[in-house]
Amino acid sequence: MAQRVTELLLAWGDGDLSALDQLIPLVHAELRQIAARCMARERPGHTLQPTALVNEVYLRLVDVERIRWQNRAHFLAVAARLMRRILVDFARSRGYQKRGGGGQTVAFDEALVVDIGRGHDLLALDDALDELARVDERQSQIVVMRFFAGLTVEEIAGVLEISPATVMRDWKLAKAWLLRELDRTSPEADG
Amino acid sequence: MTAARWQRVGDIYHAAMALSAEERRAYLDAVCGDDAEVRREVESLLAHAGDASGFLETPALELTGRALAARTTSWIGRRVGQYEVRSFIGAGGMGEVYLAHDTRLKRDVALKCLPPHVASDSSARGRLEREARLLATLNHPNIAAIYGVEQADGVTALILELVDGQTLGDRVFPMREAFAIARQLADALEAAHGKDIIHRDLKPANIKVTPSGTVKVLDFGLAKALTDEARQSVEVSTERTHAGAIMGTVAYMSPEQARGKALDRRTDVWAFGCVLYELIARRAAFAGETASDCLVRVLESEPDWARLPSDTPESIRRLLRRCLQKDPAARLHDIADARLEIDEALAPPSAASPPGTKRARRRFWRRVLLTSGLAVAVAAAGYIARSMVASPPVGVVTQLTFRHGNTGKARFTPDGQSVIYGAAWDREPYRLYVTRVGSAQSRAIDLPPADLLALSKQGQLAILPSRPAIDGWEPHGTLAVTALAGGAPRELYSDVVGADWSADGKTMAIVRRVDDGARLEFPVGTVIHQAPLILPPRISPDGTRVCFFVGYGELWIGERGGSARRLAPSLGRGGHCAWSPNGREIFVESGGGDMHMTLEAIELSGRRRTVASYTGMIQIEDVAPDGRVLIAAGTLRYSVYGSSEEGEREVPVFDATRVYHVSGDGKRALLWDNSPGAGKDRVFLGHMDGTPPVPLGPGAAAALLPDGKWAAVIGDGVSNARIRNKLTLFPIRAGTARTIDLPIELEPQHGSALGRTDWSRRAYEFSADGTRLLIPFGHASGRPARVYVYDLSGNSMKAITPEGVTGPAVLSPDGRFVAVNDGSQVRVYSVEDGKDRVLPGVAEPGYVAAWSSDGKSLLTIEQVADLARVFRRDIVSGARALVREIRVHEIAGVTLLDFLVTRDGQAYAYTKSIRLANLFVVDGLR
Repeated sequence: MAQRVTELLLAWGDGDLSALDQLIPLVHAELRQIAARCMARERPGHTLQPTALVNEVYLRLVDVERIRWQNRAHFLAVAARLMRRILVDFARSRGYQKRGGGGQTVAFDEALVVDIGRGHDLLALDDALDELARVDERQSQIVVMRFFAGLTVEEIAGVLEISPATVMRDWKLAKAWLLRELDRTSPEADG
Repeated sequence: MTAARWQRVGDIYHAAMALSAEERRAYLDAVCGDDAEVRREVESLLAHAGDASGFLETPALELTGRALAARTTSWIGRRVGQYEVRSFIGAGGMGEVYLAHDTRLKRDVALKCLPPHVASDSSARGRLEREARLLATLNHPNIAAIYGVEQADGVTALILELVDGQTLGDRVFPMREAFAIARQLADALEAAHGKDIIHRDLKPANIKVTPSGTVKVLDFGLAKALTDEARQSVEVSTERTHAGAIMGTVAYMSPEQARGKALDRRTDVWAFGCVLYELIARRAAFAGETASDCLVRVLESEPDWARLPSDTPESIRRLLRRCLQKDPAARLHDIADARLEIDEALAPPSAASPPGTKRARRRFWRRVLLTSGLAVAVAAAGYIARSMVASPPVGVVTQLTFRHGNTGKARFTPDGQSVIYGAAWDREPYRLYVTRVGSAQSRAIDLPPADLLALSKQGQLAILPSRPAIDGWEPHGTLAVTALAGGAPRELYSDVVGADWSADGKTMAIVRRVDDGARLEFPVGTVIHQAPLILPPRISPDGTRVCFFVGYGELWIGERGGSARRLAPSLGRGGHCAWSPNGREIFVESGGGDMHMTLEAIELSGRRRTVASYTGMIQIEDVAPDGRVLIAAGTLRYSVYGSSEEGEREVPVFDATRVYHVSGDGKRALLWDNSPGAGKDRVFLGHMDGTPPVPLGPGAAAALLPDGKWAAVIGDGVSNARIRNKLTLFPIRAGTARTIDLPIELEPQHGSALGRTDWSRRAYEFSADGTRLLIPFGHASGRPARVYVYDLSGNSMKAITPEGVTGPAVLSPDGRFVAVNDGSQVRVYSVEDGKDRVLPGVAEPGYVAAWSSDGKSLLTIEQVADLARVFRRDIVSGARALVREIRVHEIAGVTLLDFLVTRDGQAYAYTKSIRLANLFVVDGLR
């Protein structure tokens, strides 16, 4: 039984449809919940942490009683990548492609602008993260795990097999790097 | 930049960050030297460090949700053609739905955004428009009208009839109402099919019932129009937005739909069957944890027909079976036939009786039973009638939670409008939730997993963090306090089992677990009672008294800072209490032996009265100042699991099976089932390999004889009366039963919850030659119980332990010694001369479970969280060694009982009790 479970976990890579199949509806539903609460002027703070969603999928896909800790760590890493994809896709899919020929007015379903702070947008961050990965793969992973999947410093430390202190240092540096990159590439910055 | 240089940049950056501005410059001068590239890199990063500190600290999920909210609200006020968007209604499966005002026709409509793949594709839009024109010709009172597709100012949206009311998924209906709804639904489908329009996506989420009771089917025919041909999928609806219940379209898909085949009107018939089933059974016909699980069930499993209430007419059952035929050729073809069946079921009309008459009361109780899902295990309708005899004036029941799992403690909030509760749903740990009474939704409170202990009138929460979802008899831990409004929990007291606040929020009563039992402190620091088991207390409204259970069945009250006395004995399974608002009575639940429980009110004088009767399991949680009662109601089921060659498997009989003995080779078990289905109080021989169990006869199970030919049962083997001073040997195959009269009374085994070694484990056992029987709990008339050994060949009964000692006990294979848990020691008694000695070695909490076949060691079991650790202890030296560890499933509401192992420690069996409960508010009980 433990063998099968390990194989299942290891078989996942980015884009494994069965894992996405589980996670997407949950994420979309939670997004709508959060949105509904915002519109009702409630504090969005009382939401499920993204890790709760991730855990939900984890429990469904995996035989709970035999899991060893390392496998869960691997799962978290994969799930974090999936969360990123799902959220970015969600923001993007609200959009559409301008079909050739100028003068077409912007449709109602324009891209969902997700303000992530300092005047930057989620989709721009997605691109910037790809750039960061070229410079420092681990820092990019840490950002994905923390920002998209809401994993704690300890959980990230466990997945990457480094110390929590190292995680925090990488996190800080990565954020500074990303902010610089975003400022540099943002439309207003065209010089 | 190379990796090494980047590493350097990082190191310098972090070091520089720790310095002040001036120190920084000097540091950089020193460490970067001539390396301008590195220095530039570090400096530009440092420049962003300040802004970066708060950057990305809010999770992306929340930010995206907020953006969605902002975008949604930004629609409000915009114009789409002649329609003015007024407000947001909700999120539909395909996009957001708004309330808009038709400025030309002066009416309110629903405006539905379209999925991106339609909005952006002109050919898809064209198709949609054609479809919409066709749908607009459907003019039927039960079909929500489509007014058109609006395209203006670069926007495309559907304009639909605005329907008031709740969807079918949002509430439960009594059976007659359910039929009335189904009839209107059938009517609607008939009209549409008559025009060759098929819905394709019928489900409770798109069927609404207006306040006046009119059914409106939404989104008729849109499924086809909006199918993304490229993706061949309709976006899954997420109306039920709590994690774990998102099945959307999948659960209502017909088998041919699931297989991607062509659809026709019979697809709607299938979906209709699913909806009707769900209306009356109160659960989906094909549910599953995941979408793929669901589809598998749709394709391969039958719905659980047993879940239909026992008073469901046979014609409706037939109708459901015909609608839910997997083969479309065998399915009901014409929805008109369904309508006719329902018409019949609705007639003859029974005039509504004025409230207060017996029949109305009976209908009310049926509603109570059905809404709480309590009637499930009952075999015959007659059983329900019997339990409704004592029925005082009754009120209204509101169901609060609807999930699969177990509720922990629940309390009304200070304003009485909401309820806070702990619950472990599905496979999650205990968490706290809040729900408004009358709303079907709960929301998790922003706290780490915990169960609720108490809630004060000032809004202070006392919680028990990290309570595992696996139930022990007593969850316990460190009590933490936090405010309802938010804030990090503050730890206060350790080893707490239960707690309560006084009305002024200044005093607490707590029950603390100690080595030899529990202590009740009221106020904290002053012990007013001590007992082996004390259940969570409640402080009276005036703050002077506290009520609490000692064990499961004895209600006590205590004075603040003073003494305690017993108020009512023998309350059966009860264990929960709540004060009436005037402080003169205490509400408790009692009974439970034969699945029949009563809500009672007990006065301070000790006088008792029945308030209400129930079939199934109930627990009283709280009473609001206005007299509304909060109860948890549900089902309790026992199942037996045992080890076998293929791993662990269930060895079930009916719904209330417990395992009493396992044969030496681990292949068979002696089981007892107490559910009506078994005939109650019956013993069975179970097989671990899955062969069906063999009924033996009435009585309480004792043990199997080692030769495999006989089973010993307490009782006379014939009557249902619980006879305790006889032992009957049933033959497993050939032979005649033999009854032996005994000079003492025997108690049947009640296994202990795993790990609670102060609960007597009363397992019977034969010596290897079958001549001696260990009786772990027997008593001479009027005397305290003790351990005995009975010699069948000489018909002699020998007392082994002193009076009052019945602790877990095991017999050596040669029948000459008995090992007993005595407090924190293991004592070995000689049967012949009665001498005893203590087993040397460190005392552990493990309980004795078996004596090895060679007589040289004992098997003991210790529980650590969800793990049963089986140890072997040498009988001479007392030294112990781990034999194996057995892990049990962590699922909400599970309690482990009766854990048994064979002499070699290789085979085992246990009883799992699964408690599923939901919360209800009952108004009008007096």
